[in-house]
Formats: sequence, C-alpha cells, structure tokens
Amino acid sequence: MTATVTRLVAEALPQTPAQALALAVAGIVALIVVGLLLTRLLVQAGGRQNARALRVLDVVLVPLVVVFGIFLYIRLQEIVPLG
Amino acid sequence: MADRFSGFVRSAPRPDPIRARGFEDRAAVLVGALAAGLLVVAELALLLGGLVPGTLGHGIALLGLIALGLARWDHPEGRLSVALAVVPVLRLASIALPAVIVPEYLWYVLIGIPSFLAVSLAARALELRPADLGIRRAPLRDAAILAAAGAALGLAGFVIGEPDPLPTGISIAEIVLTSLALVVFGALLEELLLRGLVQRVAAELLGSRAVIASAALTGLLYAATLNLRYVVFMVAIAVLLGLVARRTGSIAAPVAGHAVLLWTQLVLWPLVLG
Repeated sequence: MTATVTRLVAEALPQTPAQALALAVAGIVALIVVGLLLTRLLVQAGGRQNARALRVLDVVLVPLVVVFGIFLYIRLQEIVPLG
Repeated sequence: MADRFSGFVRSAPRPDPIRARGFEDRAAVLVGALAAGLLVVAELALLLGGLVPGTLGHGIALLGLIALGLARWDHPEGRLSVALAVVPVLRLASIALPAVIVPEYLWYVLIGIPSFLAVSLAARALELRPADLGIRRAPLRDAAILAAAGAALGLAGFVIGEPDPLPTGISIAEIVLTSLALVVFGALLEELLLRGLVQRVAAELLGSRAVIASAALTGLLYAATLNLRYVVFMVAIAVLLGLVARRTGSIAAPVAGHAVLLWTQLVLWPLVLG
C-alpha cells in the first residue's frame, strides 16, 4: 500500500541538494502542521471540556509533526553538501 | 390554560422519532459520502496531477475528515471520519519521506512509524482497546490456512503486479531487512489500519457491509499502481481478509496471509524467477 505511492514518488525524487531545497511538498506539510498546531492551541485555550476534540486533533497532528521532523532531518542531510 | 386546569403540563413538542431517525440516516449518508469523496478526490489529484496536487489534496482531505469527525463525533459517521483521517497521514508520509540518500527498505520504516502512531492515536480518540482492533489470538488453523493461501496468491500477485526486480547484488542482510520491513510496515500496518481500525469502526455504521467499505478503501489505495488487474486482485484479497477478520474478531490470520503474500510476491519470486 505504501509501496504503490512510493513508486510514483521515486520517479520525482530530488537528485541534487538544490532540488531537495526547493521541494514544494515540504512547504505544504509545514503549512498543515502549523495550521493544526494553531487550531490545537485555540481548542486547548477553550478549556477542559475540549479534551476529546484535542484527542481527535492529535490523531493527525502528532504523526505529522513526526513526519515533518524526519523530513527536515533527511533534507538537511541532502542539503549539507551545499554548505 | 385548559391544559393546566386539566392537570397536564404543556411541554415543548417532541420530535417525531421516525422523522428524527430519517434525518440522522440522511446526515450519516451525507457525512459518509463526503468523507469517501474527500479521499477519492485526493487520490485522483495524486494520480492525475502529481506530487504537489496530491499533497494539497491529501492535506485538504485530512482537514476535512478531522472537521467531520469533530462535528459528528457522537455518531458512527463522525467516528468513521476520524478513522479515515489516518489515510491522508499515511499518504503525506509516503509522499514526503522517500529520499535518494535513504535505502529503499528504510522508506517503509520511515512511513510506517508515523502511520502506526496515527492508528494508535485514532484508537485512543475512538476509545478502542487493542482487542477491539483485532489484536488478539486467532485459531492457529485459520492463520495456517491463510498463510498457505498467501503463498499461492503471492505467485499470482507476482505475475499480475509485475513488481520491480530486487536490486542487483543485494546482500542477504538487505533481503532480511526488506522482508522484515514488508511484514511489519506492509502487512501488519495495512491490516491494522484497514481491517482493525477502518472495518471495525465502519461496522458501527454499515454493519456487515463494512467488509465492502474496507475492500473499497484497499482498492483506492492500490489505484496508484495504475494496474487495473492488480487493483481488482487486491480488492478480492481484501474481501477475503475482511471476512476472516470479521468471523474471527482478530487480525492475526489476515496479517499471516498478507505477510506471506507480500513476501512471496516481492522477495521470493523476484529472487527465484528474476
């Protein structure tokens, strides 16, 4: 199931540090993470009665923060040769 | 006035239970269709538009499914939306994490870690215990039969799916690591998500038709292979695995069958037949 998309992705992988730096996918994922993070903070400020809403938001927010962290680490490893 | 004197207290008019049920049914159908539609459009954007439209599509689907889940969280369709929100997470990880500098078998590990995390957080949000997800013992006979079926179907999958050959000069250690990655981050993850979580939560809304819903989602996720025969093959397998999961209440046998199928299709037959 994951392999089905990675095959598509493999054809468009950045081959040079500059291409890795200019990857649009990173910006979109970062935007989603920031938006979810702000929503979570707002919901959290709403009080204890929103505990269940926070758990629902965490279903996507926490894994996406992990995705973004791994993503940044890998891209930094690709970009480092530039420096 | 007359009511007060006759001993009755006037109260707010009660909703007609049949009409209220009709509204609930319509709302459930609408939310269910919207949730499925979001995933279909996101997957189409990925297949037809490429990575950036696909990322945008899955980002929108993710936000939409969470919004539906929050709006209807006391209803089966809201719970199903939360369960389905794991799919865009998996897709975003699949799009974002592969890289040239990372060995291919590690891609599945990197994608699998946030996906397992999303499944466990969805189970927590939906108040499902491990046993509710099918993480329990199954009769050994069922697991053995499905594993044997998986071995036979693996050859069919190899012929129909035409997987990429293994890299030339691949070491024994890399074969073992690839096999482990396929079993844990392929078979186990897929069964936990599709049969354990989605089929279980869909059953609250659709009853026995949840097997069809989980098989349809399998077909959608395999559409990226762009191989219609392989998509049909995997949907048929998903129906079989879904029926076994429903009958035994466990995903152990489906995981055994799926693991053997994946391993024979992607490792054994490419090694033997080239």
